[in-house]
Amino acid sequence: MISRRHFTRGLGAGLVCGVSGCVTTQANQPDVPPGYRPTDADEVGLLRVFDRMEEKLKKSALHLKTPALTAYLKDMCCRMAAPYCPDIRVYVVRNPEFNASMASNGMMQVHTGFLLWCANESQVAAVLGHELGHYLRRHSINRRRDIVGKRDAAAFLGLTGLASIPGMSEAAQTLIFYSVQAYSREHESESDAVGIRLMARGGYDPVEAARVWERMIAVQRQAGNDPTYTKQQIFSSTHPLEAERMGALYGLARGLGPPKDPPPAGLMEHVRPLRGMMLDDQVKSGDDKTTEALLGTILRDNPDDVGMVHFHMGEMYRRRQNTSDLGLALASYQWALASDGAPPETHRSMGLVLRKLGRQGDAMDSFRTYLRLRPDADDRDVVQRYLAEG
Amino acid sequence: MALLLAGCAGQYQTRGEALRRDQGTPRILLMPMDVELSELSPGGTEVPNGDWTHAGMRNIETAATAFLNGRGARLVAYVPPPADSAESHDDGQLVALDEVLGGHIKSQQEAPTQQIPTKGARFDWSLGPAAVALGKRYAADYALFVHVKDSYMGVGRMVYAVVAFSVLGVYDSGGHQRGSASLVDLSNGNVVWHHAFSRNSGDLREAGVAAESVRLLLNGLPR
Repeated sequence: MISRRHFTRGLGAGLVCGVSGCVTTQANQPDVPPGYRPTDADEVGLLRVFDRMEEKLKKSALHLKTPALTAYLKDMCCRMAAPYCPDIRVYVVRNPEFNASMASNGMMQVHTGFLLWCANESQVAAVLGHELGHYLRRHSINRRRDIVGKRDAAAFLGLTGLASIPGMSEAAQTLIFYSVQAYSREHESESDAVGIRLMARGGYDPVEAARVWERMIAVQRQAGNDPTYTKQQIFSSTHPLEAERMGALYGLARGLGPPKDPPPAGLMEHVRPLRGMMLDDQVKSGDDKTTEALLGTILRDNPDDVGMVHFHMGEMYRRRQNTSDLGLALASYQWALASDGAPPETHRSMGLVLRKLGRQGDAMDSFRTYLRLRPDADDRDVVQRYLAEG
Repeated sequence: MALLLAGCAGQYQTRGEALRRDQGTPRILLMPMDVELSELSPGGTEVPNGDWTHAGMRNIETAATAFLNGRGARLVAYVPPPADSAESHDDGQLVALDEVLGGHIKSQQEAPTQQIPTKGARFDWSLGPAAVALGKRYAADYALFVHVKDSYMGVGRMVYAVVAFSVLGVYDSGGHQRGSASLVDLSNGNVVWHHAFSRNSGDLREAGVAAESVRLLLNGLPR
């Protein structure tokens, strides 16, 4: 799993990690052979757990059946790790959080939110490569064994009478927790190192692996979140510090050098059909500060469909139901309509804002334009009532 | 000891209907089972064991077949439809819905604060009309949904338990078997019987002894 803890809150970070393979072993462990099927009972057992999760995921409403996008992501995996191509199954999951995960049975989940965050195909490849790293190094089972082993040791230690010393039992629990988290961070670093090599092999620009984090740090700073951990979090986090990862990845990228040919650049083309939904989900996440910073970054870096991004920025301001934000919302809609890619809903939302601002005539014009552009709108009846009320 | 007793079988619930027999021997479709058998590590962590789980599922199916034969009913095996088909999706939704419903039935029975106020003690749950299509596809009268988790001590855990008892006087009862099952009438989607249980004994790994667990699981199944 790629995300830092901050982005996994609400997902049950611990569970998701154990389950999605946030983890691994010491460096230099060999990769699993292509077509690997485990034989150890505990590894087979874990695989079955993942297989059951995959069966559920296949039927989940959050699993987006988008054959073109799924095939595109799968091709990226195959480009980076051809021998493992038959072992990996990619699922696009509707979730605004920046995340992707990999289970040891070959199930890779890619969040729509992560695709929205990425500036180009190489950045997507960086994260997919990282997830493939978890798979190649069998991080799922190694983390599982690490946790079980440490708990076992603690249980027997408890029998020696140490547990009767006041505070000792709590101290042991804390130590286990930090030790397990440290092991997880080792895995993340290892996957970063494996992933960036896979990226380079696939013809992507390795430096983009570092830029993923640079972008995230910049957005968080802008959103007013401190992208550094407190001292305590340094030990408790499952993932290394972003700045630390960024620095390490810049170092690795320098060693690998830029690609000979321009890297593939198909991200926007494949994401475009889902972009409205992704932006809408981001707005509805309720984390307005991050939304504002992220959409601002997208507007700055990405010249495509600017009107659509402005529209969703406006939606975020409008949804606050705050009079002082109505002006910002209106300005965003005006920007949207002056750019390419604004959806017809821009007129409806603009009408709602103008109505609140007391500009009835302008509001009615916007509503009429909306119904003309979207004659089969779901909310046609409501808008017509507004028109009738004048 | 009181705790041990409290951890025993729960009470089954039914609509009080007998199995429909007007079309001959009732056909009961066994839905894809939700089963997980684990080994308890020395520290007490449940480590899912693939071989045991596989054997457990086979043993449940065999024992349930024999159990139903004894009741004059027939178990019908579920044949998975093509992975991407609408049927596969619908069946998956039914299994998921049954799992959610099982949780509600449990809290309605055991957790007064989480009860649905208008439900009272009535046992009138349903998976809805979507279940009817399933019945037609398999020419089945009922569907049986099974959820079971079981765990067993590994050697390390046994050593730990013996030492813990002799040194600290702490008694460890070992593995934990819990599960639930429901029978759904495929003519209308109604849940006609539901049973949930939890205990610190039983073994599903061996065909011979698994029948005892399955008899408990199917306790109170309409005749």
